[in-house]
Amino acid sequence: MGYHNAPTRSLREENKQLRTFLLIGLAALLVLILWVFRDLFMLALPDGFTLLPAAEITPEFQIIATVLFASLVFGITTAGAWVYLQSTKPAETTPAEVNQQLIAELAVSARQLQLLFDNSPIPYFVMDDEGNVRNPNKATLRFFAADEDDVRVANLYNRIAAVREDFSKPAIELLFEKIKRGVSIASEEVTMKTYDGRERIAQISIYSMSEDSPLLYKHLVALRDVTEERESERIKTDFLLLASHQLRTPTTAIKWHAEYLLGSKKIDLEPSVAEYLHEIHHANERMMELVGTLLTVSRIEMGVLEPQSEKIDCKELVDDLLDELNSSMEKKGQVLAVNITPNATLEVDHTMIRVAIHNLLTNAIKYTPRNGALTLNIEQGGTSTSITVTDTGYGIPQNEQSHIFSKMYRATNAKKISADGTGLGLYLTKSFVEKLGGSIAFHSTEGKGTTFTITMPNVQSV
Amino acid sequence: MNDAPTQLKHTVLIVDDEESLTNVLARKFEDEGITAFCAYDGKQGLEMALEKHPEVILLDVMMPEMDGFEVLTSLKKDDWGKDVPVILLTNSSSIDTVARAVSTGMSEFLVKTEMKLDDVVTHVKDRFVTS
Repeated sequence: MGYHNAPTRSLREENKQLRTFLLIGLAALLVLILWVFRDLFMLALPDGFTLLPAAEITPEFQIIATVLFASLVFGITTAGAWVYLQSTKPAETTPAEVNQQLIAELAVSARQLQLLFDNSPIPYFVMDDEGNVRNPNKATLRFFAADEDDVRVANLYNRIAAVREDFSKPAIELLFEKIKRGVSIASEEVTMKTYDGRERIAQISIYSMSEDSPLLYKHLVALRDVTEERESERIKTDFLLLASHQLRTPTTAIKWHAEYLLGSKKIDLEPSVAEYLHEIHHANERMMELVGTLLTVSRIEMGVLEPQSEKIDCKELVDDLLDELNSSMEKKGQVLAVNITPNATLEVDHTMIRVAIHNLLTNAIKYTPRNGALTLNIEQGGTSTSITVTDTGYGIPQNEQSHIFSKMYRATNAKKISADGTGLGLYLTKSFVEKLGGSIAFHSTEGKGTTFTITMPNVQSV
Repeated sequence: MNDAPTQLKHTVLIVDDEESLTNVLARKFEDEGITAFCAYDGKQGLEMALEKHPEVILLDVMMPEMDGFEVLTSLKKDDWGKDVPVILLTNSSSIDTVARAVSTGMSEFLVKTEMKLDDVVTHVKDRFVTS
């Protein structure tokens, strides 16, 4: 690091060389001038002044004198230049001194790095394969609520071994496994008890030197305290869950009261009044659906939605869905072609797969114009089953395709087609499909149509 | 109004702390010629049940102090109570509620949010022994 501060040795060398050449050039010029104007030079001397009697000033003598004189000038100039250079150039160093200089510079860099490491707001430390710790920085000590000389920090294996509920083995083992597999920075989220008895959630990243590194403490560990993040996520979801649940009672009350008024034989309703009541009822139904969706979403976020597998006949599932959706398709003059592998069955949570396919179908119906063609295919192969819903609708714009599975996302053209829509349908579909161990993909061309494919692995029976 | 003498009218007891829901249900039953008794908490519900001996009981699960399951357990201890048809009402179809319902031997429970008013009445009517 120190090398950048002073000009390099080679640069100084270059300067010196340049100066030397300049001086030589200057001296040569002087000789030339003297030779050319030697007569003039002689004239410049005061009258009568002669070093030697005129008779002895032969042409040869003149040449020798000029050369001698030039050499003198050159010598003086060079000497002067040399003295000048010596004064500006630092003392010439011997190889031993060079080494010392390098070591000094390295020490400065090392010190700089050490300070950065030690004072970083991110907990860093190095660790060996047994979890023995060296150089825990200040942030690490703060994280563990330990003092500088706390011996407990010497080995953090058990701290990092603290298990998350769904881990079958200590987190540190999982991390080391990842490293063995060649992952350069292995990362896991773990819960750890700090020395003041608190529980913190941290994201651990380990960067490991290669196996042949001579260092004993090969692993550089960084911790990121995500406790507050997870806590606010939990609070948000908790709130959503509570709010959604609380909303069910008033919406049921509106529903039943509207139904009472509409269904009562004793009350004679004017047609306009009845119509308004219908609207209230209908709007309320939509609200109830939304509340139900929000509840499901918050349950997924909290991880409390557990799938219950059962054997499902695909044809029956499709028939049930069509019972519900046929009228919407008829209203738009749409035709759905259905192809199902005979005797295809799925062993998954019934509600989840039904909602997943239901959402794809309702989207297809909604975003395809009148008289459009729709297709539903269920193809059961040896190892997996694919469920495909194809439409000939408006498609999804290319630049929005990466967002469509996000919560609350509705594509710009979708919003134009229908103001209705929570933006949660595809998020739920994807969440459910993945919870059931499957995957979802799509391809779409704006103006042509979209195809969504759910791929579910077949449950292999023994 | 219905002219039939009181003893020939069917009776139902509705136990639910949500007053607005309870009242509109009761109104509907009355319109259909069925006498409806209302209780707004578990304790009151149990007392009324043992006093009035309704033909069918609509019992909400989520109530403060004494919830539906506790009322059910107490009813089972009573000679009359153990045989009376009870329909559990709930706001959510969560797994825990279902599991508990099944474990107490209750085969019928309704999710309020998914039911139409008429359907609740129909379910109760189906449980009347005589037409």
